[in-house]
Amino acid sequence: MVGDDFAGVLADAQAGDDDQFAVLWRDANPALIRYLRVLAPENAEDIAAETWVHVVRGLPRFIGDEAAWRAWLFTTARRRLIDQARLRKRHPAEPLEDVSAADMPRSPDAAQTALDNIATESAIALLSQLPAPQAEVILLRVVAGLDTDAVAELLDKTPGNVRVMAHRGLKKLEDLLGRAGVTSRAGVTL
Amino acid sequence: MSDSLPPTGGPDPYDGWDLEGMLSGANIWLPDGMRPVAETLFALRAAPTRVELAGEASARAAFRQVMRANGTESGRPGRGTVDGHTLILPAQGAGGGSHVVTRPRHSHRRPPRRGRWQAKALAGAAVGVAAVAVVGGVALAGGFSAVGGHLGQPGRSSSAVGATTASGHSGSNGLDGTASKQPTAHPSPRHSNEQQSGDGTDSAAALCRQYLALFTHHGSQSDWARESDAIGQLSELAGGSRHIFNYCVRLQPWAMTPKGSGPDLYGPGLFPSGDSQGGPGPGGPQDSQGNDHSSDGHSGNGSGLDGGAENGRNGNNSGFG
Repeated sequence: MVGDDFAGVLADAQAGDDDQFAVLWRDANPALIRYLRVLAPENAEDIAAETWVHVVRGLPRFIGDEAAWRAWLFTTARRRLIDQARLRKRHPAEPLEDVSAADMPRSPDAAQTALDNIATESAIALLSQLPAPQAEVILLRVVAGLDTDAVAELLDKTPGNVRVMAHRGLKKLEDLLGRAGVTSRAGVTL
Repeated sequence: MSDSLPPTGGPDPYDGWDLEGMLSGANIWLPDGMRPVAETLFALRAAPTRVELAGEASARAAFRQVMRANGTESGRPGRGTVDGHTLILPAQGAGGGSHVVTRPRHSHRRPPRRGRWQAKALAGAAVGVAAVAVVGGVALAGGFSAVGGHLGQPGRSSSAVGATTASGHSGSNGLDGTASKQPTAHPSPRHSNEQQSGDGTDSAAALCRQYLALFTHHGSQSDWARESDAIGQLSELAGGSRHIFNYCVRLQPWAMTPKGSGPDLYGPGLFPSGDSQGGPGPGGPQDSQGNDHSSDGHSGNGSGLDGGAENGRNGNNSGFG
């Protein structure tokens, strides 16, 4: 999160300062990439780039705080994601192998990483195994940093529905980790 | 919050743990089974990797490009007058230093855009003129067969005449008048032959009388072949079908006068006497004598007069007069 400086950074970026835009980009792009890598692992970077182009185009007209900024960014990303999904539906691509992209490890030792030290890559791989709506809710809450109401608005669902999906997703994660034999490190408190 | 304490109750406690707190990364109590999940979520919030920040240069470049376009099109305030869109012209004249002209980029693009629209507009106008010519021709031919009824109707005659008699440069009124009327009288072949056998001027005058009579005879039967025959003869005499009317008016200008002011050869008259608005107007016979039939379109009064006048001018310009 940019924090208290967000308003100034945004204003400068809106005025065309690419250094300040880079501040926004560095803050939000990792989350954006992680969100997209779970939901569209094949072309996450492409969708992210497309999302940024759309966001930059609308940046001079954007008004809002940091929460609104992130909500706008992820709303834009989600629309691009949906567009890409429609495009791929109309023009399906033949998979080279009979393995879904979600099943592929994000790094050569993702499975071992998931067991030894849950890192970002393995976490993304784990979330990829959740049903997409549940994974999306968790990602928007955790990665994008949106609150329940913002996620509900973004997904066009009720806040209660969002909470239910998040709960189910987390329970599913618990099951997956339990089956993998992953246990918490002693004394960890979040 | 201590690890050992039970949940104090967040917004939505599920199974004894705080969903909202877990999702937001707050320091909350969690059951053992949920701790790996919390660690997973923690990993999702981890610091960005090098790969995730690899595209910064490209993003900056895209930003600059898009913002440049945005700034140009929206004319954003707060930017210097001399920026990337400033056109610096070379010095002109002795006393002129560097001449700085701030001009948004779209001002360079607009002229060709307007040009395209102008071209489209001109093309449309040309098509319109052509359409008027075609419609006028149809109206002339149709009017030859059936215009009489309309000419006799109050309030419409002058415009119809203006439109129809101007060698078929008619606007909508002339077309309207010819579309719904019964065929009118026409010269019979025998009659035409008789005319052709006599003196040329007389026969031409007779043809013209018949031609003009077609505008005044109401309800008479007609057939297209006979009328075409007469039109063909007049066309030869006049030097083209488009010149028939001028030819006839030159030959017999009195034929265009209102009923009573000249020989009443054509029954009800070309201009019904009871139609105050249907008079010939200043451009009627006078203009016909002046050999300027484009002004016939100006002479009448009806709603279609202006259109007839315009068409008349157009027709002249395009060779109708």
